Amino acid sequence: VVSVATTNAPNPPGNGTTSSATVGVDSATDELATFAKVVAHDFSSPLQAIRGFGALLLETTGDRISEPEREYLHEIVGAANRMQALNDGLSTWIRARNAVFDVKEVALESIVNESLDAFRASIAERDVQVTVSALPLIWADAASIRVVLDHLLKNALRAMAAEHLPVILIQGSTSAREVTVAVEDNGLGLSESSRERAFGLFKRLDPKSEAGSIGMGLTLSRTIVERHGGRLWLEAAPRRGTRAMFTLPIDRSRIARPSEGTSPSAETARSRHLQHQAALAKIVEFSDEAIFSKDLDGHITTWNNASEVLYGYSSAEAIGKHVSMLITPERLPELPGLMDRVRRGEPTHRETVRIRKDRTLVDVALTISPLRDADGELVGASVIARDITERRQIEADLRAFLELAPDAIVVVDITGVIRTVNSQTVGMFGYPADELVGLPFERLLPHRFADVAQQIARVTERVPLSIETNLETFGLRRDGTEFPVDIQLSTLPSKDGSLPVAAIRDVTERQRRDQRRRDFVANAAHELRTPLTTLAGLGETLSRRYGSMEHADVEDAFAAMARQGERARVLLANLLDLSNIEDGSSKFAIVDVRLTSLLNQALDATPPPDGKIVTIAAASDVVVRADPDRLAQVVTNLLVNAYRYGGQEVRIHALADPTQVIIVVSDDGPGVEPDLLPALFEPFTRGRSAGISRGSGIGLALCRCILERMNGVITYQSVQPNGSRFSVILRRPA
Amino acid sequence: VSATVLIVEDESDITLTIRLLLQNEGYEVFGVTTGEAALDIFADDPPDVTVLDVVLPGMDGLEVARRLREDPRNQATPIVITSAHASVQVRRCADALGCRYLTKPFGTAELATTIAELLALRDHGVAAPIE
Repeated sequence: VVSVATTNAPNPPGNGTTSSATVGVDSATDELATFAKVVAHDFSSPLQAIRGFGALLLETTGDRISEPEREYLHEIVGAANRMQALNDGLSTWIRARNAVFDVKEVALESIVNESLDAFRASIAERDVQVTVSALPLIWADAASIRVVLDHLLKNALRAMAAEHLPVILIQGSTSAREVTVAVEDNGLGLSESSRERAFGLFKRLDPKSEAGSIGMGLTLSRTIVERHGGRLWLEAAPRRGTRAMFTLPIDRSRIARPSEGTSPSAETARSRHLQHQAALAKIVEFSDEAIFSKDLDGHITTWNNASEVLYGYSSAEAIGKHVSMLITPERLPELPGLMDRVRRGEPTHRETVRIRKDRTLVDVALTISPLRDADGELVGASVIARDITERRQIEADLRAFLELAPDAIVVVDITGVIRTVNSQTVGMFGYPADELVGLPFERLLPHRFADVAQQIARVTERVPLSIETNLETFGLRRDGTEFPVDIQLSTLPSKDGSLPVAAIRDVTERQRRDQRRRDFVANAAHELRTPLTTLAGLGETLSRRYGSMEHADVEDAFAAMARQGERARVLLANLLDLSNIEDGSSKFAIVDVRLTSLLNQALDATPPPDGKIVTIAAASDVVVRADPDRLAQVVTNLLVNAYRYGGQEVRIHALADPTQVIIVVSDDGPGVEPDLLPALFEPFTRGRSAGISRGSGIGLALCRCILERMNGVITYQSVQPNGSRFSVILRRPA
Repeated sequence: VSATVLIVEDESDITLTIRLLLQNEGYEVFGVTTGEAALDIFADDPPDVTVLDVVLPGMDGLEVARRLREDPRNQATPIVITSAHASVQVRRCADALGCRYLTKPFGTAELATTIAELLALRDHGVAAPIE
């Protein structure tokens, strides 16, 4: 029983006119389809041979082979036949992918009726009630849609369950953009998982069904529908059974053109080409991208709205003019090269600067493609120009930002090749910037850290915890020297995905400072060991054995304790002084100081020990600007050193010229041991001569710090044949 | 007869401290300020025990200990090496030379106990009971 309901659905636009069109964009060549095509082709002749000779053998062997052997032969021929069916299915599918569709406005109802006619026998045999309603007009290739409907009907009929009245429902509906068609049965139905599996190339819903139906049907149908720009899927029908649904777009431009194949006739091809051209013209005219074309001489031939917005010329002003009007004079030499590429038919992508009608400049990205006429003749080029001012601004901001960073910033691509660097990188590694870009990142590290360098590319991986993002390693300069660095790895989002970034800090100075601090602490602790050992040791001995000790020993013990206590006190006072001067917390009162009185005052405070002589030679009128107490401290320290390490005679003399005042303290001792000279003015450098009066090792360091605060310096020269000479140089104000 | 102790130390107040301590423990104590002087004394009249500072003007204390151990007569002599710098290398050298090692500032009781132990080891092959 076939009942057909009246069609009342709204029709798609274009109702009444019947015109053919093939529009669309080439789908990318599908490698799998190509492969399948080759396989199907190459399989067909061996299959023919197996089937042919198999059949021949079955006929000619007669009774000469046993019954089991005959069975085997049947099996072989049967298998070859099934394989032939598979191969045919594959070929059909490939044809469907590549077929040229003759897309027309057709009544779906007529296709459905043809299909139902073909299945009339099966429908009658199973007494299926078929209801057809609301079938709209569609834009499609009628023969292909017929194939789809045949498959869907065949599946619906096959799924019928014996126990109740079989029903098939075919319905259509139309929305603004597409037509939807449903073929519904009330049969056995499919589970959700088998509904998706059903679209596998060789999937059969019922393995026992006839060999001819090899599960290609749904795949083929889906391919056809998709090539029309629609979708095809299966869903569970409301009560039971399966509903196959497919859509077809009303917008004809979504129907894919075959990736190969020839048009039915040259005339249709030409008419399609014209329509194609008209459609493209509309697309170009209303595109947001500036699109224009030029002939082989560079004269503008078309000019869209967006070109006017970008460049400021109306189409009347632009068409017929030469493209050189868009190019700044200094970039004109680019033009011949660009035109050459056009004449050779080569496309060009370039980022450059162009000039507007109002003479302002604009950053643009150009895509220049060769343009051919209907006969394939090269006639000029199309130009798509995109305004990239904003992107350029962002890039410039980013670059400025990179320059602000104290570290060398290196952006690499995921293969580890350097893309961008800031000027700090140039200074740190000694390469010119253009040489750095393109260099593998690992060249910035010594070869033995190649594995560390390779980590940088991995920083963009999804599991950032798998690598250390803070690396302590060494950098390698262009000249081959190494230096300690800290590298902080991170990522920078970009249009090519996130890129690894290394922020590199030269830690040479920091390590040197750390080492000095460690040395200072160790030295200070060391200096306190002797006083503490003495104080604690003697204190303990005295407290336990005082009564039994010799009087002279008790006196010696107390004297030593006093001496070492004083030594510790002086050491701590000097360290505190040094620290206060170095960090600036100690205030200096700079005044005019008369040098002779200051020198005498210092000598009074530190008189020479017995057997030593101090002579002072200074003009009485020399005045210097200094903190008098601090300068006296310097002279005192130098005197104490001279008493401690020098000979019998110590000389102080002062020299003055208009720019500077020099105070020289010299002695006739053995001079400073040469190995002490490099660190002579560092804390804890101390002469090795033994004795109870050895110093704390702070004195000269303190002198240097004091003089630095007063814009002065202190230097040392050894005197021939023997003796030391310390010179204090103070600048005089102009 | 009380045991003799030679102190090799360039800081005279340290020498004084050790001397007064050990004298009151019953030792006979004398001191020199250089390694060379110490070797001379060992050549003439070897002491029972020596306390060697590592940092000395000229030859350092470890070198003095090494030279002493080269002489078969001094191989069992108790040597205590003292140093103001706590250093793993110095400790290893001292161990290798069969010397005790004390870091300054050491407790005086610690020094006295160490010397008593070393003498007991030399004389009886056992450690002295700890007080």
